[in-house]
Amino acid sequence: MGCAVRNRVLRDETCIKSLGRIADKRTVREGLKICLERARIMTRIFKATVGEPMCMRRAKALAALLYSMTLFTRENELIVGCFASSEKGLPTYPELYWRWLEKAVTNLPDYAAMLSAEEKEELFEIHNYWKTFSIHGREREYIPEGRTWRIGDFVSGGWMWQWEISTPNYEKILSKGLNGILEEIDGRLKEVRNDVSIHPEKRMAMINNLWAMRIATEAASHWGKRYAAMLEKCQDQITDKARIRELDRMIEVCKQVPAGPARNLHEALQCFIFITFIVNYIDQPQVGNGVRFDKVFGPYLEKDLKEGALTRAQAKELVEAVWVKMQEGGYVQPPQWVNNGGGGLGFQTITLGGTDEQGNDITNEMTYLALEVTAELQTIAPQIAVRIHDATPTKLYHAIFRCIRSGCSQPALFNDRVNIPRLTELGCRPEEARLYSINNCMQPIIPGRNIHYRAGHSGGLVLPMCLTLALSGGKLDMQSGKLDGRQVGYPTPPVAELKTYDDLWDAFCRQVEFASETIGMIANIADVLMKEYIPRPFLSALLDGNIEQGCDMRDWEYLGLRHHLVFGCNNAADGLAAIRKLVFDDKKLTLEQYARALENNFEGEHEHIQRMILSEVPKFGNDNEYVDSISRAVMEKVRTECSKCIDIYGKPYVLDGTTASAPIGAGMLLPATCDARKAAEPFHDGSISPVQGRDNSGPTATVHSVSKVDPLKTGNFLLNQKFMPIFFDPPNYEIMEGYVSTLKDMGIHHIQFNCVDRDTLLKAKERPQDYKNLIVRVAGYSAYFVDLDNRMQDEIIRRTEQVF
Amino acid sequence: MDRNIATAARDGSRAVNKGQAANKGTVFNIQPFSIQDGPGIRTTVFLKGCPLHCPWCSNPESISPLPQIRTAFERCTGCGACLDACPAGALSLNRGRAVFDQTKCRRCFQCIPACSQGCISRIGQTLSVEDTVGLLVRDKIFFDHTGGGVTISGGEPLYQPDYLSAILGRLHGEGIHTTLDTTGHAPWNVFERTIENVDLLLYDIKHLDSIKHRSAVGAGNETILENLKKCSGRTEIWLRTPLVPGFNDDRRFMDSFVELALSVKAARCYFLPLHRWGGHKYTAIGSKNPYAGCRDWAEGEIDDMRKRYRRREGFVYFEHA
Repeated sequence: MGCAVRNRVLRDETCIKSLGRIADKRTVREGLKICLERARIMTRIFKATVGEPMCMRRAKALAALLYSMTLFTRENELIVGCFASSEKGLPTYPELYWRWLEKAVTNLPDYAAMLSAEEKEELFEIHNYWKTFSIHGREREYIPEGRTWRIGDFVSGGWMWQWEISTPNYEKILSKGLNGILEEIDGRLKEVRNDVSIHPEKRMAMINNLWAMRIATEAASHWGKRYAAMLEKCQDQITDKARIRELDRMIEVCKQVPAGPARNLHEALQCFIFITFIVNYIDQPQVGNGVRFDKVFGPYLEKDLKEGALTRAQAKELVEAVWVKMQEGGYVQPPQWVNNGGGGLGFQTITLGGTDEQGNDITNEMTYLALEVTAELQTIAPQIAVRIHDATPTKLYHAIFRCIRSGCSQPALFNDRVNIPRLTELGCRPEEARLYSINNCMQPIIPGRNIHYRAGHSGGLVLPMCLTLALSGGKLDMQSGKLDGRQVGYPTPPVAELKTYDDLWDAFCRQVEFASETIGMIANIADVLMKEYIPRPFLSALLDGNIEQGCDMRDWEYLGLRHHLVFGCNNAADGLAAIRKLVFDDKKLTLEQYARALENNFEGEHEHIQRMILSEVPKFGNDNEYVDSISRAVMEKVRTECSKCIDIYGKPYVLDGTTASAPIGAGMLLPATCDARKAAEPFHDGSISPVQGRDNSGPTATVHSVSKVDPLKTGNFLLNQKFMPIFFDPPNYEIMEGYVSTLKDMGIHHIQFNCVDRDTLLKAKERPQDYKNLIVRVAGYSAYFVDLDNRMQDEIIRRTEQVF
Repeated sequence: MDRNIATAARDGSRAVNKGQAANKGTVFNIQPFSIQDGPGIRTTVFLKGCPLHCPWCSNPESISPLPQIRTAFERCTGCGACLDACPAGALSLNRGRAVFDQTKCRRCFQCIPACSQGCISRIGQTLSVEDTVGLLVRDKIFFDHTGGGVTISGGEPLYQPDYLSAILGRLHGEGIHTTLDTTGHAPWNVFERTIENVDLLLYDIKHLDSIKHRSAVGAGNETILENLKKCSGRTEIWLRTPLVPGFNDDRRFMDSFVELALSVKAARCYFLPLHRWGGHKYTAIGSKNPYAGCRDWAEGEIDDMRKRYRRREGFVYFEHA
């Protein structure tokens, strides 16, 4: 398709603004610049609006940005949109943070290279203004005495504020245009103004909020016309006739949206990018997308195809253009986050498939088009989620397998049987729950509803560290791993007093409670700061219920999705099982010996203990009830503790198993854990995957283990499975469809298939200890890859290369 | 005859004569999620022990009916602990790495816990019928969703007849589809006992010329062909043959093989091109001389043959299975 030529930018040139992956050993991709335009305009408006209500100040600042920010277009673009003043620019958000950025550009060469000396001076000057009320780090002022809490103890990562997942009501925006929404705001404003029965304080707040929405929405509705003008100027310098015609079409599109309703696919997709860029990059750094792409855009595609306004190839080109646009997104992230989040791009999830309100399958031509584009472009954004339910068409399964087979490990498959009940349990009506989409990496939300899934922190509850603290009475020296030193956890009894497994379990539970309570408390402080300082009038206008109530989105929530991020569950379960078996059942070790081995990183004279743990104790993922029951107990305990925390809107916290690459980042910082994981090694990925290399009984046993930990009662979310590409070849479609539908019936929350690629095999050859469970099956022959001799391994690597 | 196989054959006859405890079997692998041993997702149980000795066998660890040692000395540190543990002198050091000589091994398995690197393991576990079936029924939900089931393979499963027929009967009782992957080399009375509980036979024929058959695998093919005819019509058959260069890749054999498949009303027939992927396993069990005299298939050879049988597509398959 045309993509290779048109979107040259894709693979090589500029687009990838994500932070480098860990493997790159770089924190920032080369050539990226910090763009000060946003911070500069923001500061100017805030200085000029002192004393006004915060919602007005933010609305005016956003309006000023949209009216005056630099606009440009890339060569050969079909869909336009920008959020910084240059192709390689990334905005910064001084109202949120300043301290880590100053440290980073001062101390780290990768960051320093993103600014010139003058720009650095200007940045620091801007920061001077924000220092007193930029919210990042201000939680420290409000933490109770005696509850010292240091990031990196077992909350991993730095404080991040951008994880919000309310998805604008795109169907409404596309059908009414922002002008339609403006009319709605005006109507409501008039009503509220004249309704003196409302308490004056509330009425005035409502008027302020509605005015703020009006200011922001009006500026946004004007944005398309600014692009149209910019494109007209560009057109003057172009001689290529075909491109001139293309630009004509684009100008027409930008004159129509986002102000007016979208009349065709091109306008709908352009409008989507405009809104996404404003919401996700210009107003606030918001990771996540959550649109049901086929449901929203499928009808436009079908109409255009039917009317002959577009060919399928042209439509595909437009979808490709959207993918490339989404790939452009990115943020400057704190250095520590780079390890945890694996860059910020990956969370712009769009959802395909699933049902309408009545439960009818909505799969349409756009579903297939989107999967084709994903397979061909191999971009890292957007991430694709496909909803699987009883009526998912076989044709869609085939398209899914083709896409996975292409090597992009996309899409992830989400089980309606788990996600819909999960939402109804949280209070959604069933017909609304059926409309869910996946946002961020794997959170079910309802598009268009005011849902807070706002991580005031990116930290999480690292369960194996809770177990370590249970062996140390809550004391730990993070640097040396010694089970002594600062009191970071709850003062549980010393090891000598833990006489039975139940004693140990109780101590572990106390540590979990303490950690959970602390995280909830800090997150609530963060929420209050967000509510007070960072209202979002524009996004509020695009979410159902805010105009009606005259509220900012931060004033209430439709659904409580405030969460605890949990990881290392099965490192903790394997650890508990090991102690139970070796210390309390078989009495081969004392708990003191175990603790000594742990603090010495299972090295030297303690090495045999690590061996015992690894060889003599059952591990999660092998369908062994001894340890699977512990995993279930751990997750249920965590969920109970979690729901004791209440968010600032009065709703209980939920568990989140969407750890992304945080287990690797956190693992790098943390000492050895009881499951014989050594210091700096990663924790298992996802919330329920077995620990790396410990599931040796095949994929079905792993699924059985996982299915014992009910996702509705726990935070059991993410299961990754690796398969050789051959499994996704056409002759095996039927079997894989059967496999997926088995998983669906077993109540697995969702599954991600990874095709074992050449890279993995190369790594496995190099580091066999990490890939003990990697089974290769070629030609009916199967073996653990690491057991093969080098020549054989090379042969398999060669064949795998051919397959892609 | 290869000394390993001679030993194996001796051990085998001893085991059969002794009559293994009726409800126990020796299994060397249980492979869940097999997709190439019959329809759907299957669990394949590999029974240990085989009366034939095919030089191209890709599972040489299946031949001896007794549990044995398997080594992976790539990780060996040369500490010598296994040498000390071995009462028979089957382990020695060569250039800082342990070497295993299976002819000396007395199967006491004391070397396994001695190795700190986990290089040594045991092939072959004794399992009761109850335990085996208990393991197999766990994946019934996968079988049911994909039209799969359980495949019993080996070795030669008919080598452990009591255990085999007990498992097959129990699996049928659970409503699980059963497949038997066999060489057919067994007395008919043994065969007859199992076949009523077999839904699909994967029946291997090595050669139709008995002399060539005997020279390669150590026994003639008369019993095998007779049994095949008796099975015809009693259950579904997929007839298979390993396609070995220089042994049975001639046009005459291949055509007669397809004819045979038609005459016994097989539902499919498979040519399985030889691969030498099991080579490392010979070293791992301390024996030598894998794939004596065989060469690898050159690229394109198989495709040419496939073209020859194109009009029988859907009946003749050229696949590794």
